[in-house]
Amino acid sequence: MTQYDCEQSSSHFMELIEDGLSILEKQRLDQHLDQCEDCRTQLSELWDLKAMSLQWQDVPTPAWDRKQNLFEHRSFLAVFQYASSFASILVLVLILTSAEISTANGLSINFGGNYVSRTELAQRLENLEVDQKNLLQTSVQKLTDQQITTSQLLMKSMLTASRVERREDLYQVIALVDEAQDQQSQFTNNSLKVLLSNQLEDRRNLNKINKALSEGALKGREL
Amino acid sequence: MERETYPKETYPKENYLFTNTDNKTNKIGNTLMFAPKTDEQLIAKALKGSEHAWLTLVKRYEKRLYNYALRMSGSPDDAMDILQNVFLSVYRNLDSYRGDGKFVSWLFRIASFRATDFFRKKNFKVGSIEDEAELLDDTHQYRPDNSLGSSQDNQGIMSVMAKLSSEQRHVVELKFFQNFTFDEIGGQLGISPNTAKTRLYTALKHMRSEPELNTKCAGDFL
Repeated sequence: MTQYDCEQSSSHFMELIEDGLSILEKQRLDQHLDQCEDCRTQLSELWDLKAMSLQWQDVPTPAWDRKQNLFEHRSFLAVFQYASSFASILVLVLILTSAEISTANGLSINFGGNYVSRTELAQRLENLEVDQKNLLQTSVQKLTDQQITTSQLLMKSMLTASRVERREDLYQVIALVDEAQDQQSQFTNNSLKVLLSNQLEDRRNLNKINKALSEGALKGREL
Repeated sequence: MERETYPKETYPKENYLFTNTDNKTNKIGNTLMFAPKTDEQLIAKALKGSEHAWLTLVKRYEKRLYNYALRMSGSPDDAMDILQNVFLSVYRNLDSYRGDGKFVSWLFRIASFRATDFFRKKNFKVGSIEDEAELLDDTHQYRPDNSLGSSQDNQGIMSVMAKLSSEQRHVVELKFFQNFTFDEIGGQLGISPNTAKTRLYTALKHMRSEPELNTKCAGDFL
């Protein structure tokens, strides 16, 4: 069994301390340590350090902020935390400056403005009610007139359209009757022609018969 | 009193309300338990804005980190500052944690950065805590009910750590108090594992050259 030299020995010191050496390696290391004062000293110092580390008594961690503001997300709702304060200050400023806010619809808000008595307010409300009623009646009348006019125009246009349609239908009927009359006339004319030609033929035949009879009578007289 | 240690893959016992054998499903047999969530589950929830998940994660590691910062800085006030900075950085960089390594390793990587930044800003030098009485007083401000013996142990350890350079202190802290491997320490400090080992042995040499420290290490703690 070959012995370790100093370098090989020192490379195994930590394994020896951590109890990670095989029996054979330990024997070879022991053989070297028996003969080497320096390595013995070095190993002893390592054991001292190990002993020192084992003497440490863990100190509990003092209280501290473990989150360290890492999870503080700024929420959009956080903006509203100042909303009430802002509204209060705004109203205060409006009151102090006696501000008046008016809208196009006639709404008017006075912050600490002129005082209006209850009677005057009632009168104003009454006037406003009358105005509103008049406005409503006018609007209703206007709408009714518009509706009547629209209805009349609609009826007129419908009548016109109906009249045009009826005229067109009548023209069509007249055309059909004319056509039928034309056909009837033509048929009658044809029939008359045939009849006339037949009559002519009959007259010719009668003339022939008369002539023949006349000739026969003459011959008979002669005879 | 038995020292409470935090093995690499476990959490403080007070965070376990129920024992759990299946971290992925939180189930024991067919019964759903209100078992603590894994770091990754808490991170996922915290990233979605869950305050509760974040606080659970913080409470899980704050004691360990506070004691780390206390040993590194030697002052409860500074430790608290470092603790807050670390968790602030963790929260801001939580989305960059890819879950490809242990969360605790990633956490201590950030802690190392923040502690180094803190020392740089405060112009923290080796052995800057000269007045050990100050250490004792500071510690007592936060631990009025503490026994003198345990407080003296902590004060002695802090005074030993204060004599080391920031780099050496980091390696000693991560190796002996946090039980990380040299590979993990290298990853956290942005150095190779061999450099981490070298810094540890340099710290040992430094302690050897300081008879006062040597006595404290060898005498007080053994």
